Amino acid sequence: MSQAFAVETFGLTKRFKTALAVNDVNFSVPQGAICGFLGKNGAGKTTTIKMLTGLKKPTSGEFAIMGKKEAFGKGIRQVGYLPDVPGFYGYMTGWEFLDLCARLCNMPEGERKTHVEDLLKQVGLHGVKTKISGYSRGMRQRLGIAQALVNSPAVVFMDEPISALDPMGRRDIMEIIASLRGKTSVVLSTHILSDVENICDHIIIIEKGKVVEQGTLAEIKGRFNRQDAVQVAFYNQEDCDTFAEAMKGQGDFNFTPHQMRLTIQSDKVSTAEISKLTMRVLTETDMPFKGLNVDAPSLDDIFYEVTK
Amino acid sequence: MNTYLTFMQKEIMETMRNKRLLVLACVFAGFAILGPLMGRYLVEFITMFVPTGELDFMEELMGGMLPQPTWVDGYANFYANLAQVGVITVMLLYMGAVLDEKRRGTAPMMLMKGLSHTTFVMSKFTVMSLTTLVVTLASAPIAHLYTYILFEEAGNFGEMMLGSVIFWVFLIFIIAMMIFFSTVAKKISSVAIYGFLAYFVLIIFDVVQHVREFLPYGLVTQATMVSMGNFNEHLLPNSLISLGATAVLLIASIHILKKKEL
Ligand SMILES: Nc1ncnc2c1ncn2[C@@H]1O[C@H](COP(=O)(O)OP(=O)(O)OP(=O)(O)O)[C@@H](O)[C@H]1O
Ligand SMILES: [Mg+2]
Repeated sequence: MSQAFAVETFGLTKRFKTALAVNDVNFSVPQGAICGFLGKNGAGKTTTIKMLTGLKKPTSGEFAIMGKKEAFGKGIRQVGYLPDVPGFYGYMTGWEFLDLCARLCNMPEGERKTHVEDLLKQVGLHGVKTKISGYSRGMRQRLGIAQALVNSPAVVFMDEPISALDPMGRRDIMEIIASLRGKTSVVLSTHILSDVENICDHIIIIEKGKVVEQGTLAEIKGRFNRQDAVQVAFYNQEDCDTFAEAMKGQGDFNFTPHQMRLTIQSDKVSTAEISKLTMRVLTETDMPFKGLNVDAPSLDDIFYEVTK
Repeated sequence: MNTYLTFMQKEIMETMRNKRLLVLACVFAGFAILGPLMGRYLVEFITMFVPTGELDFMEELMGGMLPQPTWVDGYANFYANLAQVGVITVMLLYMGAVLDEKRRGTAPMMLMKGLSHTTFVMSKFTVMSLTTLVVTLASAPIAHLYTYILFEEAGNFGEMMLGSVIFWVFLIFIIAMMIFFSTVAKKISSVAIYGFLAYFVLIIFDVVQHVREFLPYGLVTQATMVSMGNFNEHLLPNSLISLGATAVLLIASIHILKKKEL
């Protein structure tokens, strides 16, 4: 167990009566990292997070938060948690709710007021006088994020923090999460992979309760053996075929045609070289084309591949 | 201590804003008026609607004239009504005490902020108890006054107040019982079923003499008697047993809550 890890699990397992939700999971999240926790519906993300926040009892295995072994029901003070469906006291205002949270954390009176105001500003709920019962789903999620951060925890777990948000709200929240980098370690589960690619420096992918991939985005991409490829899209199949014929004469390439779109790849020739050749052949054959791009394997591709 | 006061404030806010206090106040005050009223006029009411022939039959059955109601009936009806409608209202209002917070996810949210399981349960119990104490203490003088108006006669005011406190000791047992069921159960309908079953068991045993004196429900009779100025030797043990059962239920609730996955 190392102090360098914000979260570390050792064979963490959760078996329900009807399902093995989390199966011998081992992973570690470096301190200060923003970690994307990915997996399909029912993969075991929520169950894992609930064990790590001390709310569910692991069937077996252990875990450590900030280098300290923790257990079920101990009330882990160093963590913040945004549940997948956050619930509140509907008869309170957002301000009252956060104030209650801050008071339960024993925050001194003087500090509390400004802290609560700051948090509300951060999540864009400042000045909202409506009772929480009148909040929209997005507003609830924003308040949920604020309450998860109220005690300035060392580690924050967020279960799908942006699932109910509009595009602007998504950007706002991603900015808040990004601003925590280096200070607070964040573990966030989400299905929006482009956001993960933008802000996460560490990624864990689980599938059927097992960790199938973990590491930095670069590490994972490095392990993923599909190389960059050049893609050309045409207006009709005929052009596509003609172009493929013309390219074949230029070298040893792999062609993957898919609906008037040709993906060109090679183990021997660099992608840069392929792109130059492609341009030349396109000019020589005077072929109209709809799109031309160099396609690096995205997190999407990796995700589909490892959770297949 | 600090978090205890904080969470009690939250519970008080909940009681006020969710109109629980209002509902309880209406029910208790309502029966403080309705109880004595029924005590006074029920017999006349029956006389009015039952044909003369059958009334004779009824009188024969009861061995003589239907009794003329006295102020004692005013008090007795007040407590009898509270023991039914009042208690059921308390049960309905408080059956979600813990379960609602578990299901909404507010319980884990609060507990993760450093609130202890004990404080969570005890601040709920405290505020619920104080709420029912307020409405009980407020309704007793109304029943007393109304009895006096209707019968031009009533018992000792101090004894009536003492009686209402004894009734409240029974109420806090009901509250602890609902907190317990609310902690154990997974569904609100189960809480209701357990609650009503327990309530009926209590009522059924109340007709058995020598058992009655040892069950919390016996305090309803004790409260009525004390209000009329009759003290008996069962009062103290009966109260102590009820308080003991309340404590056991609360301790069990806290213990079970600690072990529960939220
Ligand atoms: N209380 C429970 N009882 C029985 N099975 C459960 C329970 N909670 C979760 N499961 C099962 O455990 C598995 C993992 O569920 P979990 O909620 O952790 O998935 P998830 O990765 O969070 O999915 P999603 O993306 O849909 O939120 C599922 O097969 C689910 O059916
Ligand atoms: Mg989930």
